Amino acid sequence: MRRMWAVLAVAAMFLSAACSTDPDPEEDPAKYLSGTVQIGANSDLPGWSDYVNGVWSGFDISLANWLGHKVGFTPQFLPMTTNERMIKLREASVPGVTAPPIKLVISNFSMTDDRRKEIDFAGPYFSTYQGLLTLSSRPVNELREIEGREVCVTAGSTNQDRIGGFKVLPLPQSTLKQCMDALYAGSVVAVTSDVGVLNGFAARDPKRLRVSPVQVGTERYGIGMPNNRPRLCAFLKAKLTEFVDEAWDQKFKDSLPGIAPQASKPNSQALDPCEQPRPVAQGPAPSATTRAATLTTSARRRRR
Amino acid sequence: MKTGNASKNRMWIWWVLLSVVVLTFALTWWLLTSGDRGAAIADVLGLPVAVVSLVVGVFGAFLGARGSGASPSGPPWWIPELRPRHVAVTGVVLALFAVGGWLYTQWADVEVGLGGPFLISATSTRTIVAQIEQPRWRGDLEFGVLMTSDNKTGDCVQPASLRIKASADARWLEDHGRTARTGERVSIPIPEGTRVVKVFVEYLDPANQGCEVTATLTGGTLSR
Repeated sequence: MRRMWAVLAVAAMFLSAACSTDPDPEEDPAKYLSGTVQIGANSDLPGWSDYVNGVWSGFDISLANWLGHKVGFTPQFLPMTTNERMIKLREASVPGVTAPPIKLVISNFSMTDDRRKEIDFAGPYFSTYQGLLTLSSRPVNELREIEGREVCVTAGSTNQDRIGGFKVLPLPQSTLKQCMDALYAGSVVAVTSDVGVLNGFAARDPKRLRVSPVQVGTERYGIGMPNNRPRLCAFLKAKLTEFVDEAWDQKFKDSLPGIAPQASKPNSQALDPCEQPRPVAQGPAPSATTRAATLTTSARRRRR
Repeated sequence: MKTGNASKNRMWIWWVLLSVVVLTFALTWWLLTSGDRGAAIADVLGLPVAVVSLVVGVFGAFLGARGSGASPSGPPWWIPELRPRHVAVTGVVLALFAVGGWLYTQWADVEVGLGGPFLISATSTRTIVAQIEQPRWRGDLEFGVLMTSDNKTGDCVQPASLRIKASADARWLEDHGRTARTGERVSIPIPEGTRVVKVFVEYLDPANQGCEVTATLTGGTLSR
């Protein structure tokens, strides 16, 4: 009889372990961000992430270097196009990947509901608007002035999604540098991107370039990371709070001299909450926004 | 021998009847706890159960009258021989079920209808009349907050909040209400005896992005 109870107890233990749906425990953020950390960044955005003569510079680069100094890792910047940011982070989000192509993306990466479905963000560390950059000789002061005209935009950006709602002819390019070449060549009337980024280009060539007063939408930059990383997000959020309080002003001034930050600096005490992970093996994956509700309800039921 | 068989038949029938009673109470209990789904199932089951009961009753009476050989004046074989002890046990069981059912209706959580998904932005608000199958309220109104957005641009869900204010019989329950992000649950104490509860919802746009989201108040429950 005693033996039978022992067998039943062991069987119950195995059964409960087999039925467990807890997701794999997330790696310790301090371990994830140790040694050499691969960080994806655009390489042709003056003032933000610019790679010239073997040297990286810009606000995003300064943030990554500050993080490396504070956390204790060596950033290794991997140049990528705007579109590649999501592609690489999706690859890094596949469960079981032991050597992700990148660990973070710090590259004018706008946090959006759509992107949050596939990756996680910590932020914001910068807020800006979508604007227009034109040649000084052909200024644009209102959107209707460019209706029906070609406007260059980077493929895979939120700018591309938003410009589709206006009466212009979008010309998607892989990089903003290609857009600038098109603007200088006169094949487009304007380049659209985030005002913060356009300011960087205008500051490099102030005589020939002009940032239009036209502003639409809102862009809030965050640090991109693979999906379902609530601990890493909370870790980086705490570091970003420190960064905004201690270093933001000086880094901005150093990277984009002569440009007023205006309302771009976030409130360090009001950074976004981190997403909660989705449970595994629960049928079709719910959207990023529904999974947290499911977890909360389940947790409540367990408590009762 | 005949007396022994009749006694066995009576016991068998007695246990069948008792099992049917217990099963019926169990099914009723389950339907009660299943909310709207239970009501729908009960609606559907009502007719076939009534017809089958009638057919079984008539068929059993027919068989009993034909095959028992009992005298016309005596009870047929399928009527259990009731003893005071049986009656007492049955009474106690039924009383326990009745008391349990009464306690359940008084203290169990009750499902609350809070409508379906709705669009909301910083320039619009929503007032929802909470629906409950009880004449008066008592307990805490609890529900989850869910927001979704299909827009390609904008960060309108994760950093956003809904401000929730509730009124009981046209009186605000809290001056400023409370805020909840997507995935969070809200619990609002409702004064006993309240007849009408309304929930007022306001969207707090993060960073004034001009967002519009689809919001749903999910899993509405009156927790008592």
